[in-house]
Amino acid sequence: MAWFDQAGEIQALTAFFAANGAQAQDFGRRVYQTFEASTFAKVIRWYDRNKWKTQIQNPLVGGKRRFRLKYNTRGNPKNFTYVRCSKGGASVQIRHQLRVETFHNRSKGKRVPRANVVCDVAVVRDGFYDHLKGNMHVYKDDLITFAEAKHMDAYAELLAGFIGLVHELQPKRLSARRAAKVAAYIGHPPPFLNLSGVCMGSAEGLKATMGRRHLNINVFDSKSPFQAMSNLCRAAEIARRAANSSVA
Amino acid sequence: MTAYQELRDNLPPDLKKTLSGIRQYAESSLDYLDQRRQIFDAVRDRDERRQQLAAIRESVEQLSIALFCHATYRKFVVGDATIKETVATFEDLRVSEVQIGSLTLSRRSDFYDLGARLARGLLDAIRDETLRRQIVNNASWHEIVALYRDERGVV
Repeated sequence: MAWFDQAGEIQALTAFFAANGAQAQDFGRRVYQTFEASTFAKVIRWYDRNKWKTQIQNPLVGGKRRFRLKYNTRGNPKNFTYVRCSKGGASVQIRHQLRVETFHNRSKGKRVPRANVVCDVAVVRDGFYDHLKGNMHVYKDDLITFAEAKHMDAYAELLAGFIGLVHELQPKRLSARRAAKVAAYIGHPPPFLNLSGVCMGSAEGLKATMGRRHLNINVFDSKSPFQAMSNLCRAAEIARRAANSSVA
Repeated sequence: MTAYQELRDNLPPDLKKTLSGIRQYAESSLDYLDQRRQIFDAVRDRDERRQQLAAIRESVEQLSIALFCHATYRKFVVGDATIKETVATFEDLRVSEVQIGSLTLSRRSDFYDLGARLARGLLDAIRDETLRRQIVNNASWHEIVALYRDERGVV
């Protein structure tokens, strides 16, 4: 018997997609949006687990405060949920789909197109951003770190594109030595690319070179997912658990 | 219209792209191109040549469908895990419902388990036991191609 009954397979699959096609399409469209939301939540959790006080700030929608996320580049920040985090006198905001000025932008007060990029997740200095509309951006000095979410398996070009994005937004991150000198970066996760899939062959190679070059950025995939706890806090947590268990 | 075209036309647009992409991948395999070249070089009779080309094209279509089943199943399974993890993450932050467009995502939503249901439905639609086992065991593409090559001796 042939290993593959093409006619039978096609008939069965055609019937399946005729019956479930709309659901399958809807599912495909929603999952990538859900993954973006998941990345936003993971960044919030990182701050929460690293002893920051997190407060969800919801926008006023129809006279009520509602939890509302943004899934494209359009829309004014004031109409969407963000999180205010504070710790020891410092405070930051975690926002999603936020337009941020690139490092080399020189459009301030000039009639030239603005150079800015929308980040899937951006951690910015605490401040007033409700005035932002249309193509207006957050200033580069206010950006602390950011994350990009991609619901796919990564290929080398995707990783190279992310390195390019870091170069546009925070070029000092591409040198561990220079990044260590920026006070605003300390105590925050480095910019990262969060993948729902895995890094394929050449992407895995590129990721390895990123480690060797000590770039101050990360790539997380389903094999090595984003951990919502810094190494320092994790060590403290392990020590605390060990102490508790020995007491018990 | 061939049976393969019928399947392609019945797919939702994003999955249609997946199938076309996989077919391009299968058609760009060196074995396939080599076989095509050999047929063009060796077979002079037009009808005979057409038949032989159709035979190897059919084998590419079969391989494409097998790889498509594999990719689509994974897509639903990974998607389902992503949704469940997201709901759990927001629950930790004391947000029980997340609005995505017109859809409300929570543990109670129909959408919550949709990926798993689609994956199960897709698996039921695949009659071939060997292929089904390969898909559930999450075999790599290369393993499916190798098995297919062993069985059919082509592509």
